[in-house]
Amino acid sequence: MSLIRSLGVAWWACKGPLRLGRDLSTWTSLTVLTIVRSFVLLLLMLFHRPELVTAGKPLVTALGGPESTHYPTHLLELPVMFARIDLLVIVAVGTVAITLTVRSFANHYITRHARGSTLGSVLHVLLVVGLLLALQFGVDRLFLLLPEALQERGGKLGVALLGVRLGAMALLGTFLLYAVAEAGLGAPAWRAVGRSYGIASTEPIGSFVLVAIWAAVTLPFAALVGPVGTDRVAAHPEAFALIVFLRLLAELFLLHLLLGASTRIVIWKRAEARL
Amino acid sequence: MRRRSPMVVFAIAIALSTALSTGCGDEALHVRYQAERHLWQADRDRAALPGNAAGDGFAQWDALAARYESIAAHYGSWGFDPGVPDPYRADLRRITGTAWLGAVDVRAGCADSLGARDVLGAVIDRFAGTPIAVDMHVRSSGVALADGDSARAVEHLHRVWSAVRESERDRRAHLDTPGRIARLAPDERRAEAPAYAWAAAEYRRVIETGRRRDVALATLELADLALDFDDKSTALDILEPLTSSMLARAEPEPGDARIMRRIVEAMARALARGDLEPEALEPALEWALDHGADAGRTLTAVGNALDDRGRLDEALTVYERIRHRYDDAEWAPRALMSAARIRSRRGKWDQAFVDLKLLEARYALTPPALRVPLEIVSLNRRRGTHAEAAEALRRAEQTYRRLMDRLPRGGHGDLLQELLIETLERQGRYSDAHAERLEWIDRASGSVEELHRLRASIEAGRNNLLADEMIDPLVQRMAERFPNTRLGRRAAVRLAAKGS
Repeated sequence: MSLIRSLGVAWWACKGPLRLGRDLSTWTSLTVLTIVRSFVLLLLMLFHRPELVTAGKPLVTALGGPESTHYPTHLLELPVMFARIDLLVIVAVGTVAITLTVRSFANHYITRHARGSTLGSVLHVLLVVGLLLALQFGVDRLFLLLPEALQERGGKLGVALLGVRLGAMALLGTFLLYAVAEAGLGAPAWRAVGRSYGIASTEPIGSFVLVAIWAAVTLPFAALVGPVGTDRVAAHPEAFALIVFLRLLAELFLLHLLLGASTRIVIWKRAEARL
Repeated sequence: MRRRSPMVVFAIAIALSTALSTGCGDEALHVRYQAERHLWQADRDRAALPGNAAGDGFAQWDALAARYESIAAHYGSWGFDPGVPDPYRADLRRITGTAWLGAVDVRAGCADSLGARDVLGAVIDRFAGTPIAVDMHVRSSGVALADGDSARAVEHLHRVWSAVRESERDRRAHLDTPGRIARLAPDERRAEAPAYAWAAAEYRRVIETGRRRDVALATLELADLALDFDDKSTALDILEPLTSSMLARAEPEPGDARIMRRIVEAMARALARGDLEPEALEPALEWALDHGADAGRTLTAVGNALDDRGRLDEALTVYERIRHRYDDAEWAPRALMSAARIRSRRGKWDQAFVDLKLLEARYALTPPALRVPLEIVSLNRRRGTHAEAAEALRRAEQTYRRLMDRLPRGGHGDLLQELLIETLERQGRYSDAHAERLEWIDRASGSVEELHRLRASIEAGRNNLLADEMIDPLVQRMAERFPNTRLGRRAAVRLAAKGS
């Protein structure tokens, strides 16, 4: 298995969603997800407006504490508060959107490939997404074991540490890359994880490249709202909201690309297994 | 279409729940948030403004003061509206009060002390009884002192103390207030002075009723005050139990070393006046040094006290201890300079000269080292070698001019120019010294420091009997550049009187 072939597999997989980019049906669910996430971000950002305060203030207080209702603490804490509530949004809305997107891609690649009910798939996608979030939580906790001074470091060392953190997550995520697509296409969660591990083992470099695209694109956003960029952005706290919103937009395109590519590879591997 | 229906239903549910939750608004939170935002942005812009507030940057500083005033005026009514619920009302009062103080600070930074006084005078009564009023009265006392009105400063300080004296939380930050009031009073500095008696009674009340840290701080304030008012028995009586309790403590708490350092400094003052023997101070000094007090500063206080008392050998031992055991760039050069002066006073010229040369070589470019050329002049004069003194004076001028040329602007530039001015005045070259003073003033152009330098130069010009043609331009510059200060106005009046 040569490197060129692995990169070729990754490129072939990406061509699927890129070609279907003009087909709105593959975007609908993810767009609704992004709209819901943006709405939640907007609610957190403008919680103090008289029109939103009844719902916004308890939410901000619960997510960031009473200090977070004050300027500029509120905006400096916004990325953390949003990350907390975003978990709920991803579980409640994201799993549905992901399942529908995977099925939409599958229907474009090869008709009637998905099996079982959508609701059943959603439940299994939920389990796989839960496993991914737990892995992320574990990696985050592991980095919390570092000395506090190191965690708060900016500059090149801070970027390097962030890179290592995202790299570790990407490495683990590589083996679960296809589990979402498998579950979305009707496989039970445990079998989806096993199959994903199997595909990633046969295509490790191509799979890692796909996950690395996600890590590379999200790295600047994570850096800007973390210790690395806070000093530069802190003079304009409103920029934190803009960074989170831009990250949401980037994740819309990344999700489209990764789900489309992983679904294409899963279908290819299933077809290969049937031969 | 069927595939997307769960998403659509969810989006509708979110929209509906939001619509239902937005019935009644809480405008006070929004107003507080906006007020905090505007104040924070003003503070941020203030940090980025050019330093020369009274010069080229004056327009920007003036605009910023107006901005603070506008923030305070805009949100002020909310803070005093009974319809606004707490904590928003209290927060808005604090925010608007802080904005007024921001305006005062900016005006003071622009050398507009009269403007600062007017702003405070207009709003201070409105904030009576609120926590921010304490800061306003502290600021007002500072403005009054800058105006030379100590009676008004004392009045404001009394308001500060009456606001904080019953509050355990706020009192500690203003514990020096009774002492400041007593020192500003026009009474003589005697133990019988009424202002002193009042301040001492206030401190005794804190000592009897306060918490441990407050008791220690109040004791130190009272001891300092008692020494200022020549009441040595009170000073020593109250220091003794505090010192004993600190020495007996098995586990020192954070901040104890600082308290002990202040005890040693107060004892050193008593030692310098002959009210205490050096042996009495020894345990406290050793405790402070063992527990991380600022050794250079603590030992310097003791060394200077011994020097003042005339116990020169012991003072020299202390200075040697600083140099050999706590050698640092701040206190070791001072210790060496003090040792050289003691030896010079005792006629040990060669040893003093060696100390000065060592100071110049080892601690080059520290303030005491920069003074060495002029110190050599003094040493020669004391010794009676006047030809060498004249030569040393000439060399001092060359040294200072060379260093000013070589060293970058800033840093020690101001100090070098002051030393050059002193050198020229010692040579009797007052016109040359005046020319240097003009450059020295220009170095501070656009800052409040320019006003202080103008005043010092005018006074020096009069003392040195310079011609009016040399002094008047300085008076005119003071009147033109600082019209909103007491000094500037007085200069304008003087010029008008001279013109008429």
